Parts: sequence; C-alpha cells; structure tokens
Amino acid sequence: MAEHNDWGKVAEQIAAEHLIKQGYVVRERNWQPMHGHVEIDIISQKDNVLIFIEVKARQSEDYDPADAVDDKKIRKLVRAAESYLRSQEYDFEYRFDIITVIGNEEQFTLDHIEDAFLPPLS
Amino acid sequence: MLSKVYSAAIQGIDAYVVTIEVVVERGVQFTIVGLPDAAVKESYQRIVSAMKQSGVTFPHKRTIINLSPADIKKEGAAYDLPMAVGILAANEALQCTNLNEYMILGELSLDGSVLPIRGALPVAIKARQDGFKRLIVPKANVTEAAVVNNIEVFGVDSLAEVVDFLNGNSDLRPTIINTREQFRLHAANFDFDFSEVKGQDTVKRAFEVACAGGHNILLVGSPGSGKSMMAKRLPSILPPLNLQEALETTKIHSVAGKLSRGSMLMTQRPFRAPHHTVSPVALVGGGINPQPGEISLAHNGILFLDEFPEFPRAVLEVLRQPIEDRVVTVSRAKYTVDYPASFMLVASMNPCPCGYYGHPSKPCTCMPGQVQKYMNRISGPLLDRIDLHIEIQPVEFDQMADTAPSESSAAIRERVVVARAIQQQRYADEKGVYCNAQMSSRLIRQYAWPDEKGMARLKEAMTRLNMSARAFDRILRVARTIADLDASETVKTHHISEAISYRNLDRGNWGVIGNFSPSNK
Repeated sequence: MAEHNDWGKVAEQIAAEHLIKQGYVVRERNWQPMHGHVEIDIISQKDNVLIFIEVKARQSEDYDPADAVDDKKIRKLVRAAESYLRSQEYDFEYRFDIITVIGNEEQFTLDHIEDAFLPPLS
Repeated sequence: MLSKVYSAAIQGIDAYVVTIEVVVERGVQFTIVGLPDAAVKESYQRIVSAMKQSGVTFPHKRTIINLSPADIKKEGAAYDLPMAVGILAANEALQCTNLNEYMILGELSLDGSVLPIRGALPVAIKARQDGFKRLIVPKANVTEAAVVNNIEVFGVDSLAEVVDFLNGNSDLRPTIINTREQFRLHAANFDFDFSEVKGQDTVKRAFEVACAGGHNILLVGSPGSGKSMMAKRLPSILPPLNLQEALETTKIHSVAGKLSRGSMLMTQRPFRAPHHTVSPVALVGGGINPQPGEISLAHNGILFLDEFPEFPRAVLEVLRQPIEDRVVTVSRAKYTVDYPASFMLVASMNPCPCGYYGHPSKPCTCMPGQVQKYMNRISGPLLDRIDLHIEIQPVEFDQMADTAPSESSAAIRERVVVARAIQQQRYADEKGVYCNAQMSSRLIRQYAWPDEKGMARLKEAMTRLNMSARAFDRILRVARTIADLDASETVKTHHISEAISYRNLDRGNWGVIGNFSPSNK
C-alpha cells in the first residue's frame, strides 16, 4: 500500500482519539451501508445527535483538504447516513462533520469543522 | 411531527390560500414538494441561515415540506417565513397552539430579517374572506395589508420576532388603520396643478370635457408646445377615487410590487407613461409569471402614450380590445388571468415627421404625402376609439410672461365631478356604463340626440369638413358631455359646435399641404 494511504489510516486514528478527548462516543469506524460504494469514516454520538465524520488527511498544506468533500461525496454520505439513522431505534438528530489532519505522524494540525454541510435539497 | 401553516399565492390580482405542511421525522433528507419554483427551492438556504442567525435551531432531521394545492405554481420568496415557522412547529420548538388562525407571509434574508413581499393587500383581503383571525406580514407591507379591517395584521422585522410572538413572549400589537380617515386625509395632494399652465385655454377646456365624460383624447402639437406638461396635470382634474376604485387600483399595484414601503391605499389616480419602446406584453400584462401590464397599472387612471405614432403597430393594436372591454384577459398555455384595465387613454403626437405642420411661424419641411403617411401609422380602428383630437399650439410670449395664475385644478375638478354625478345618475340602470364615453348607439339615440337645429349644424359641418361616418357617434358623445358640464338636459347647437371642433383629424383635408387652418382661428 502506498505511503499516503497509510497516513490516511493514521489520520483516522488521530481523529477518533481527538473525538474521544472531546467527549464524543465513537460508535462505528469505517462503516459501510449494505449497498452503495461509500464508507463513513467515523460515526460518533454526543447526547441525542449522531455525527457522521469524514476524515481528510494531507501531507502538505498546499490546499484545504476540506475542499475534497464535493457535491458527489456529500450525496453519497447523506444516503449512507440516511440508512444508518433509519436502522436506529431512537430518533437521533444528525450532523455532518469534517476533520482534516495535515502533516505527518510526528507533527500535524487537526481541524474539526462541526456541522460542515447540510444534506442537499432532494 | 406534522405541522400546518397557512400562506397565500397570487393569481391574477387575487390571492389563494396555500397550506404548508411540514413533517420532521427520523432521517437526513430535506425535501420540498408541491410545485415550488426555483425561488421557493432556494428557501432552504435562506431558512437555515436565518434560523442560525436568529438563535433557533434548524432541526437536523428528515424534513419534508408540502405546499398544497399542488396544482398552483408557487413562486417567489414569500414562503420563506411560513416554511420556517412550519419547520419550527413541526420540531416542537413553538408553543403556539392556534397556528391555524394565522396566515403568514414573508421573505427571509440570510441574517434573519423579514423582507417585503408582493401582493400583501389581496392576501389580506383573502385572509379576511376565509375567516383567518390574524395575519403576519413583513413590516414594510403592514400598512398596505392593514387597509383591510376586521383582521389583526402584525408587521414583523425578523424571524426572531415572529418566534417570540408565537411563543407568547412579545407585546407585538396589531397595526390598525382607519382606512376611511386615511383615505380622506390623503385624497387631495397633487404635485402638479393647472394653475401653473399659462394660456392654452382651449386645450384645458378639452381636457375638462375629456375628464368629465371619460373620453380618450389625442393631443397633436409641435415639439415644445406643452403636450406632456399638460397631460401630467390631468390626474388633478379627474374626479377623486372612491374607496372601491382605490382598493382595486391598489390591489393591482400591490401585485406588481409597485407600492413603496409604508404606503396604504392609493388615493390618487395612477398616471402611467410607458416609453414607446414598450413591448406588447409589458403593456397588457403576461409573462412567464403573469404580471399586470401598464394598462392595468393605469386602472382607474390615465395611460399616457407620448409620441403615439412611434409605438410599434403591434403594441398599439393590442390596446383596442381592453379599451372596449375595460378588462384584459391574458391567456397562456399555463394560465388564464383577468386584469382590470379601465383607463383613460391620453395620447400625444407631432402632426408630421418634422413636427411643424400647422405651426404658426415655422414652416413644415415634410414632403407631400409624408404627413398623411405619418398619420397612417395609427390605425383607423384605434383612432376611432379616441373621442377627442385636439391641436396644441405653442404658447405665445406674452402669455408665458403673464404672472397672473390661471384657473386652478381644483376649480376645474369641481365642474368635472358635477358632470360625472349627472352621468352616474343617468346610467344607474345601465350595466357597465359609467360615463358618456361608454354610450352605445342606442344610448346615444336616447340621451344625446340633438334638437333639430343642432342636427342641421352637425349635417352642415360634416359635409363641409368632409368628416367620416365614425365621427358622427363621437361628436354626439362629446356633445353630451359638454351639455352635462353645462347642466343642460338636452344637447343644444352650441354643444354640437364645440364637439365638432374637437375632431380635427377627421377632416378630409388634414395633411394636405397648404390646406391647414389652426383650430383656434
């Protein structure tokens, strides 16, 4: 596996640790719905809100990794989140967050964008 | 949970109730159904931002909004506020139990303030008709909506204010306007007055006659003779609007979004002067989202067409039917709407391309035939619908320098009002006839037939001046109005004589070079 993919995995781990530190419960990692080619990196919970988190890792600061979450990705995430929410017993609220991690294992900056986007009008 | 909020859509100049149903349930998606147009779909962004700025939470749950009835196209941003209220109610963020007593309209801006909408007046009328007790509208529209009595109208500035109000945490009071009182107060303010016009007594008299009988009028004069200046002063001598007329006219302007912030009933007759590059649709109304045209904006007032022959033929011809029917029906594949269009047509034109045909001092440089060709740009049937044709001569210097004020508009108006009252009484039993200009041939025979001497004068004039047959009815109608101004029961010879003098363009010799005789000779 290429090096940058490893960094991606590490970044997800860093993000999960960050969430736990912030008082979130991490419910799922790399969750995939039954259908659809999409993966939700982290599903966490705080009170009655389920937070669907997309983690983006980059090694350089050349451009904002959050920009990589485009329309197409949003639609896929929303579809997946919809099916996850429906599978729950309880009426949770949703939230979509993006966590960006820039740097390398030794030195990185983490940015947590809460409520990063809303589902598009369908 | 499900919530229902009531709002309204405009079709033609009337409002229809629109029910906004909102369901908030488990899930993620946000959906608007029920024939929304693009601006309604964009509400989503505005609502989310406005809620955030107003300190209320947008429910992060699956939200479905339905606008019913689904067969009426919902357009514009006026549903932002009711949709936001519906979302909050469905999310159990409002403690209001009587939402069904409210009708709500308003556009939201991103910062949560409520922006003005179109058609607040027809909405208020509809809300009262359908038994709603309260109406929430943007503050900018509140005076306009409060014209309607027997319904509590609340003007709001922001979404936060609405939320507080519906939660019972606000001392917002309904706006109350004494419509009749306000109407009386503002009735007699005019920017222009006939006392500022020097000389031109014949023209003023013709205007008086036109206003008294509701006749359409065509002004022919060289450049700078004061056609437009005089026409601008016409509203000041028309009889004042009555409450019913004012309501109708205001409704049209409300739907067209032409009312300024804080305006109430329109108390003055409208004066519309579209430029001659106007398109047929802009003139009569229509468009993808139907809008009233200039002729409807001039309802109960004056439509002034300056440089009459410069208007494209297609534009002028569309005027023919509304002039007769006083209403225009705009039919398209997607809709059919009626707009009232009872206006007085005032047109002005130069007598010829160079502008100086018939000028007392300047020679006309037009080629033979050019004058007639210019005249022919206006079709016979249209000219036929204009009762008075008068020539305006430039004012001479002595008159211009005269400092003595001329007769004021108020004095002229008094006579007009009296003449109109006589007509109203006369046509009380005739449906759809309110003034002399609307008389049919039968009514002319009944009311406007001159005595024998008058008839003889008419016959003589018509043969001598080589007048066309269509002039006959016109002359009698105008003569009737002149008789009314004179408080005369019958149409007398001198009434006929005056009426004949207002038919310049019907003379067979018009446009023949060297044959011109100024009317005030």
